[in-house]
Amino acid sequence: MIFAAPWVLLALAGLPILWWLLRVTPPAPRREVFPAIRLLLGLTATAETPARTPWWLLLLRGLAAALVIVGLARPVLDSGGALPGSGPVLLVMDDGWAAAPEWPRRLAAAASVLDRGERAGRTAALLGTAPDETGAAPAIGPVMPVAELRSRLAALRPKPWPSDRAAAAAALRGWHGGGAVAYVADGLTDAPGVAWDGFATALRAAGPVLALRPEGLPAPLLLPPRAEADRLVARVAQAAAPVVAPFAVLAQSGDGRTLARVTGAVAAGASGAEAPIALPPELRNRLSRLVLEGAPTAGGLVLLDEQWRRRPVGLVAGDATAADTPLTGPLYYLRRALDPFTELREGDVKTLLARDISVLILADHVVGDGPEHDLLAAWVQKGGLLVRFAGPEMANMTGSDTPDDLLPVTLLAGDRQLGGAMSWSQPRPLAAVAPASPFAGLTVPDDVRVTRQVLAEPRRASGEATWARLADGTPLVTQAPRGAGRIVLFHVTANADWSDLPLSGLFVDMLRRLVALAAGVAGSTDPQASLAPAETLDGFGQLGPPPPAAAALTAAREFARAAAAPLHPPGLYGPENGRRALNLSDRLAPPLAAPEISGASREASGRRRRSGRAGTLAAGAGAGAAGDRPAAVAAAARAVAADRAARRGSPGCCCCWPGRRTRTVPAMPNPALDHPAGLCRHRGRSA
Amino acid sequence: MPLLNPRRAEALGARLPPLLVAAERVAATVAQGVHGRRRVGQGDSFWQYRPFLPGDTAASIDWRQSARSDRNFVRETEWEAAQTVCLWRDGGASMRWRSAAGVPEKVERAELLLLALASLLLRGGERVRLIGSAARPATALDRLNEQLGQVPGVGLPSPVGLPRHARAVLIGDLLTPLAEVQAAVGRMASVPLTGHLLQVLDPAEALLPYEGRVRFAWGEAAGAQDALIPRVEGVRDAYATRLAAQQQGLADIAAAAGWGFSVHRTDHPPEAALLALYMALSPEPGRR
Repeated sequence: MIFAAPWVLLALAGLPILWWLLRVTPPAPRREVFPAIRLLLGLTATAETPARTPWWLLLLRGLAAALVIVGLARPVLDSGGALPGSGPVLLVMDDGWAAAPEWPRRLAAAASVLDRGERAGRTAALLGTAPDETGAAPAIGPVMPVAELRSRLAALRPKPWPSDRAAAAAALRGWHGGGAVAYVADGLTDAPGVAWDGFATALRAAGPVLALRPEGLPAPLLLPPRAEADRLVARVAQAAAPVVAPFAVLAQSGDGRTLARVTGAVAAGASGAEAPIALPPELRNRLSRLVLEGAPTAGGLVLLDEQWRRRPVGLVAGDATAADTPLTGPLYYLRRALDPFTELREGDVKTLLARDISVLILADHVVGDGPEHDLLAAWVQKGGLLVRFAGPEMANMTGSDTPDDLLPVTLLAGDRQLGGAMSWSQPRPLAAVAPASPFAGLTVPDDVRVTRQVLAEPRRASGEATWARLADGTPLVTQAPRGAGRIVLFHVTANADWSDLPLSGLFVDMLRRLVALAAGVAGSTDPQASLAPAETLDGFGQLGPPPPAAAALTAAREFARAAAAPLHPPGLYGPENGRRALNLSDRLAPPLAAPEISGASREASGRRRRSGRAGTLAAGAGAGAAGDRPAAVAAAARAVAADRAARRGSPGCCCCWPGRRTRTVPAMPNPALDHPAGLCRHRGRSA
Repeated sequence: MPLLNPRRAEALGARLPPLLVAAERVAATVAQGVHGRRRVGQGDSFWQYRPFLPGDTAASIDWRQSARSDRNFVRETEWEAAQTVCLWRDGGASMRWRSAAGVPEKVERAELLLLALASLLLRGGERVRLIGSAARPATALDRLNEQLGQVPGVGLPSPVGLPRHARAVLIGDLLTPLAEVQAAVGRMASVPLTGHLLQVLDPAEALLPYEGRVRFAWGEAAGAQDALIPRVEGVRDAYATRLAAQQQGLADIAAAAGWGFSVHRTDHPPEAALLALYMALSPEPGRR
């Protein structure tokens, strides 16, 4: 135990004087004005007043005074060892995104290092390993007295981008201060191998290293989710650790309400885990962010922009004139199935493809050679989902010389008719959906019958290409990926001519699954438009106004490649009606645990012996500046309270009237009251 | 505060019905009053018709009423008379004291009670006057309040110029020696006056809630008294005994003179004391 202000202890020499004063001085009487004094004259007390204060009361008061003096001398019980070396202390703090959890404890640990330096009369300098808001590489601040550095430390905030340890190592190589180096680590390394080794070497070269590491796991990183047919899969990356790390992901809407909460766990030794979020399309379209439950960080939050929600669907009919005829038109059932949850567009193929579109549905529309075919093929290659329905036109076309190659399978000529006056066969029901199909889990109604269909060439219609079948195994829905996109063919018409399918709820569910399967479309912006930062995240994952240095990004090229950096902080970019989200985890390497810095623990071994958790944040924070002064003062307060309680029953107390508050008479302001200086807790008492 | 006093007093008195003080010795003190006594007597207001009885003078017959039937009727009027009530409150230095900010000074409470009682009396048609004031009996509360400011009320009152058979109400802390009180009450009883004594005490005077070593003091430089009590808790019982003896003595003095006596503490609501005064002054049912 040491004292920060040892000269205050000189006041302990005054305690015997206090003892003597308390023993020889009888308590002064209090003066009260009292009209009914005639009744008091000549009354004698029935109980004897002790001439002197009892010895135990003296002891209690002496103890209280001694405790106050000791408390004012600012004792520090857990002072920690002296910092190694001499000369200025270099404080290296990780202030990338991974430092945001337990940030106050990191600051406390750093402050305790500063305290130890201050007690040793050393100066200090600060180095944050992340680039600052202006994009400047990490640099060591000027060497200054500890008291001035404290305010700089308090102003330090975790950044929403990763640390740049290579640049920090470069800054460390230019350090020739000599003294100790205290490193408050976030437990992650941005690039394993050479960069980390270089950083560790530079740390060791700068001076004896005292490494303070968090006790728990390093911060997890929430990766952009993966969109599946009927769900969103949240992905969490975590530095591999030998324990199971449970996590919970909140799916939140724009107004901050949580629409879903899913939990998962990263297995021991694994570097990531997934948790599916199943939401109905209506709710899924309202999602605006995924948040990792726990300490807020920029890496634990993924902003979802329009790309995750908007899936415009284009409708094209072969026979445009009859397309919308109620109950018989090819688009009538499609429109009624899709309208409640998607944005529908109509027109010819060229008009529709002029804007971004997710899904294009061709109902018995034959695509011949020509510009229309090329447009469609290029769009599917880029990621479009083309859904086609068969029909008389398509059945006629299959026999022609110019086959339509925008089909998932090769079709046999003509169509197949089941049932009818000239046929022995009966209309066929549907088979149960195979589990690998995106339609898996949908209930197939018994009363759906297919009377006509186009037939796929049996060799080509493999199991993988078929998403739904009739009960006899004939493919009903086939698909084939093309480039980044996909072509899906329903072997029946989109109206009730060939089957009962459009009349059933299964039709609606199938279309919903298909639309959810499609890639989203970002806001329809000009590719050359520059997207200005609108709202950006800070290190704690809070959206706020962008920092002054944040720069705009070009929609098409730069945005697709941009990584979170000081010039492009993660957040929302672009105009109000077409926000694009730039997330920290979009292009961030998976987090890796940083290895121990060899040699660092030797310097901290003195503390390790004592507490067994040396070099951790908790041990570092224990040696706080406040020391144990509050404890001593609190003990003194307890002693005074005990004294006060004892006085209640004791005669001749100095100045207090404990009965005042308990009786019917409220306390009365009386300036004539004479309080013995310094011994009464009730100085300045008022009514 | 003096300006607010009549308003508060009236508000206090408004909750009780008008006070009718029984006029005991009608012949001596009766004055033509404005308020009916709800019985037959001298007055202007019609009270009742009753049949003519032998012995009534013929002049007393109400001919107009008698003409309506075969019998003769006598018209009787309501008796209207007023009683004078003389009020006094102690305005001495010991009354201008309070033990804590939460309670009023004793004189403040005494004046409030006096005015509230006067308000009740005035509403009952009685006459009210202050002992020690040369002014004529007041008929309005504001006027009485002005007179109150002019009457110091120091020292126990003497019955100079008071009408006989009036009622007197004395309000004060009555901590003076019993002999002085007895002399004052005896002088007033010999007029004769009947009345009521109300002792107003501060809660600190009633309970002595001090503790420890206290020096009690009272009075100015010349007549200053002080008492050093080493341990107030020890004398609290003795003080209570003395206070009880003082109050018992006051009650005895009052009873001997046919007066009433009651005690009021300033931390208690004034309504209780006002009700006690009301009960003491209002006629008992059997004496009508």
